[in-house]
Amino acid sequence: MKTKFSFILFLALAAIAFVSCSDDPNLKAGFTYSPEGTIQAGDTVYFTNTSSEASTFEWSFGDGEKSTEESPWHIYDEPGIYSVTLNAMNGEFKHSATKEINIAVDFAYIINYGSYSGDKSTVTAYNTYDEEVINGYYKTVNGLDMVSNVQYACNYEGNIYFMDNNADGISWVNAKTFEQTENAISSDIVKPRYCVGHGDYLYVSCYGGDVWYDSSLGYIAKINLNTNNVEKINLPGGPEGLAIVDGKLYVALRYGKSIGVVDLTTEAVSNIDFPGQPVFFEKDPQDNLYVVISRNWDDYATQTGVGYFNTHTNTLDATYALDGIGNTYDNVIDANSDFSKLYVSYTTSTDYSTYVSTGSIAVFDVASKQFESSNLVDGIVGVNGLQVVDDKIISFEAPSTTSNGKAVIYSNDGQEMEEYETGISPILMVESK
Amino acid sequence: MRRFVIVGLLMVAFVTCVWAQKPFTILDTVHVEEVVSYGKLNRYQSGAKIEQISAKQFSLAQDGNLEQLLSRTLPIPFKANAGGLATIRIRGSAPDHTSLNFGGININSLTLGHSNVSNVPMYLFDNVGIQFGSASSVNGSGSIGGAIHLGLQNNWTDGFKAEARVANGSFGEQLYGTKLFLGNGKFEAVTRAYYYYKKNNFKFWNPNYRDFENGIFEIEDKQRNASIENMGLLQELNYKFAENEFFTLNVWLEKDWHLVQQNMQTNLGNPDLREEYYNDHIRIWTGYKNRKNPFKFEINGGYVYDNAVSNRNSTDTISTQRIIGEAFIEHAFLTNASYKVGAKATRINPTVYAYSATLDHEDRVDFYASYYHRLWNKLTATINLRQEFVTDFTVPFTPALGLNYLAFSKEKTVLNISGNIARSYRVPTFNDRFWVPGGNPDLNPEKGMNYELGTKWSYCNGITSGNVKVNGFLMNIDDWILWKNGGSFWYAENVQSVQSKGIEFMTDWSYLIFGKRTTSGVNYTYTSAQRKKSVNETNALNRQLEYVPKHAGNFFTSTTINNFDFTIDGNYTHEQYTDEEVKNILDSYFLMNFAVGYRVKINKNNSIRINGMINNLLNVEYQSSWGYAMPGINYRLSVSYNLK
Repeated sequence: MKTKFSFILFLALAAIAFVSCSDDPNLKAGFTYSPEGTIQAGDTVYFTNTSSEASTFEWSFGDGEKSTEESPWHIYDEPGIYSVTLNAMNGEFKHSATKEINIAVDFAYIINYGSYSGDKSTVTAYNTYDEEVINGYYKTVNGLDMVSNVQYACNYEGNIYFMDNNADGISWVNAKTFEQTENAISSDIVKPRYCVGHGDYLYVSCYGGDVWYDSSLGYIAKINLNTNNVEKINLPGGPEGLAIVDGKLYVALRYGKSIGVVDLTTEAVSNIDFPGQPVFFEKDPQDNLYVVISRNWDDYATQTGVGYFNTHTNTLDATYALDGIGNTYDNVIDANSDFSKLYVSYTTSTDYSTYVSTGSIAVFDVASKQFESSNLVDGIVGVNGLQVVDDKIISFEAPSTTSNGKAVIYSNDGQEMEEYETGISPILMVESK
Repeated sequence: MRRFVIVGLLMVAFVTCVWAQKPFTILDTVHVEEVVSYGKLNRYQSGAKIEQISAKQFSLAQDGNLEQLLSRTLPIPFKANAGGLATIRIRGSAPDHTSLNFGGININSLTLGHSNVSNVPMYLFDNVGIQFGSASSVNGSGSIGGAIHLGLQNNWTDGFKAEARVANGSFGEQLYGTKLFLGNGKFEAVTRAYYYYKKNNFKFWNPNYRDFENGIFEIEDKQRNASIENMGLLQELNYKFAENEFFTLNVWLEKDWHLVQQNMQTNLGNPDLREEYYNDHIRIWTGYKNRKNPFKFEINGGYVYDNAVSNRNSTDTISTQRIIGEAFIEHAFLTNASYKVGAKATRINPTVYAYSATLDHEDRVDFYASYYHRLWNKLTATINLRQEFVTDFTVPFTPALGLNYLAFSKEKTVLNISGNIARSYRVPTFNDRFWVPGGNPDLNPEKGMNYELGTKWSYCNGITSGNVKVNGFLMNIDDWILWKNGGSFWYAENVQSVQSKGIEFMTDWSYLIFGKRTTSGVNYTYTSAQRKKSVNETNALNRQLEYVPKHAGNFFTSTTINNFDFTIDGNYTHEQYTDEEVKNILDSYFLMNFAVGYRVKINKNNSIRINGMINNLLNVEYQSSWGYAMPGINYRLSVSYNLK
């Protein structure tokens, strides 16, 4: 009790210390800010001035930046606790108010697939400022293990949605707090693969079963994010990667060897034949799609590589050959920030007597429309996908499904910058904003 | 009544302690009589650690499988689910590092490399011998961590004997079995057959339930789609030409089916998932044994057919056939020395959908030689040499050296000290070498080196007798094969080196308590098994290996009161890693079981035995394989009727 009283007294004295009185009893400085919850670096903080009898203002945001606007907004670049001071002035009189704002650590989340029949997925949180990782982050935050292997994850409208592939469900956490508070959606979700958000809906490609035996399986689950109701859009052929362009959903139909196009207004579906197995898309600034062209491992005829799909004409305008691309399950293509380079991970297995294979990251020069003569990285053991973040290339590597994998960060000239141990079989990274 | 005999018989002292007209052996390392067809392991393996399950413990496990027998009687870890699948891990080795021998047949799958020991029924056998540590020089490929021998006993029946058995247990468990013995003292036909079924629909608490909105994260669940239905027939036809001249023919047919038990998460989220798995096996082993002259010899032959069908997909065939021929001579050229030389040839025909069509067969030929020498009636030394030749594959030369020294033998006590050094190897499985894609014919064989030092102290005063055995071992396994992620597909590679070392303590005693004969035993093993090197950068090095408990132990005590016998046993398994993340650690657990048996002798020729067992008496919630539910307290009741 005594401790509590002392603490309240301390707070009161602190408040007095921070609010200096003026000679004008009517002059009061005051402000509020939003959002009230977790704020991360890069978020816009809106300050609302609640001062009275003041005519001019001086804001000090605690990071060296200042403003004289009445109700300014501000973006903090780094996490930390900042003292924000507002000086409210009226002629010669001045009154001040100070508040502390906690700019939380900004995480990106590496999804570790685990192994299909054994270990379920885990999450490695990557602190983008300290450049450190925390393994087992989902359990750290939620106190529970994940109960599925996550095939893919996407951040949409403040939530990170997990494609719980073998649990046949969609679960999600708050992108900033990483807390899961709602139950997974399992109705009408069978073998979810990939997701993309649009308006009030999350579109999820679902295999619907063992599509490699029965290519008539497959559909798009259209999830209303307000009601969590699921509608099914029938789309046979093993839907995999998704992209939305101009009100149309483009679907890579891996086992149907075609690209499905769904008009999101009418839900009319059309199919465009494809020379191989389309797997994933990467949308360029012109809203056209680079498409990974894959094939079955025992199909030695189909030329794999990257295709350029024109969404204005719905035609495949060009293909760029690259052997060994697309048989990995996860992210294999990503662009840098100005979309001048595409980075592509692929395997270089040429010895069919031993099958010992390693991976590489190839670089596709968008301007010249060709792969560069030398790879960014070669000799990756257990190549498992890549992602480009802040023009750094993160290679996900997993030599086995019982040992931990790793995320290796390369500069855009191929220099290894950092290496992090992850959970089992890392596949991709989702940013928290 | 009180008699104590020490006989320097061939290898080491042989001590027989007589109690109440029933002789039993306290030093069981020598037995030269041809009473057991399979399992004569010791003569040329001085210093090797070989254990045989006691008759009483074996009798209690008659309704179950090999995993249930060994996990209750010895501190051997298994990775198991609730009856459908279990694999053995002796001394930190992999399941394909322990050979499972039926005569001269290693019944381990040639495609997978190991056996599902849940599908090895104890009802068909008379005893089981377990060799701890490397035994490749004697057993050939695959005996890096140990070897198990399924034993049959030749009774040379004169007349007719029969047994009928019915067992019923929790979760729909049923066993029906019969054994028929017919013979005239020279010819013997023994038929053993069983049918086993278990619905396996036990209840458990499922921790995979997720109701975030109501804060409920565990519910009571029932295991679904995990039924087991196994049946088998073992036919023996034996003929004794003379006291030391036999012909034996053994045919073991097995048809096993089970629904693949789903893990708790799938059981909850996908309750209708039903995956069937069939195994068919034909195993034939026959031999002519002539032991009449100083030059003893045997000629044996065998045939094996293994077939596996997953989910009724009969187009994706996975089957292999083997034809085996073996012959050896054994010559005791001195009273204290003998040697044995032999050869074994095997032709293997795989029919596996994922192998290249050009792979028609593989031939394997083993040449082996053993030498035994006893000095001063105290020291025995054995040397074993083996060289196997495999089509297009190089196998290392495999020697082993063993010593056994009788340190002292007094009126009531005997102390033996033994040591053994053995090389071992495993030819990669057919899948490792020929699966398309990912199999690599250029793999190196896995290689092991085993060092063993042991002591055995035996005591007998006519009323009380017992053994205390302590063994230390060090085993290195190099070129351990794992499948690696190649991006497009997985491929086999020689990945890691593992070192396993430990201490095993075993003691068993027979004594009187309130005038009642009681036997008790305690076993403990400490195993430190660590991955020392790996080509995978991310493998966890210098840490206890997955599914190898550092500490394991068990105890049993059994007492006989009139026609009743009561047995209580328990086993402890220390916590185990299940992967290389520091998560998913299996908690340690202690399981206790209780059994009571009652024998009614109806008349001279007819008797009935009733066994009741309560397993997992403490209703412990535990897992032996990560994520798979195991049953709580359960019972089994069996009645067997014996004619003669």
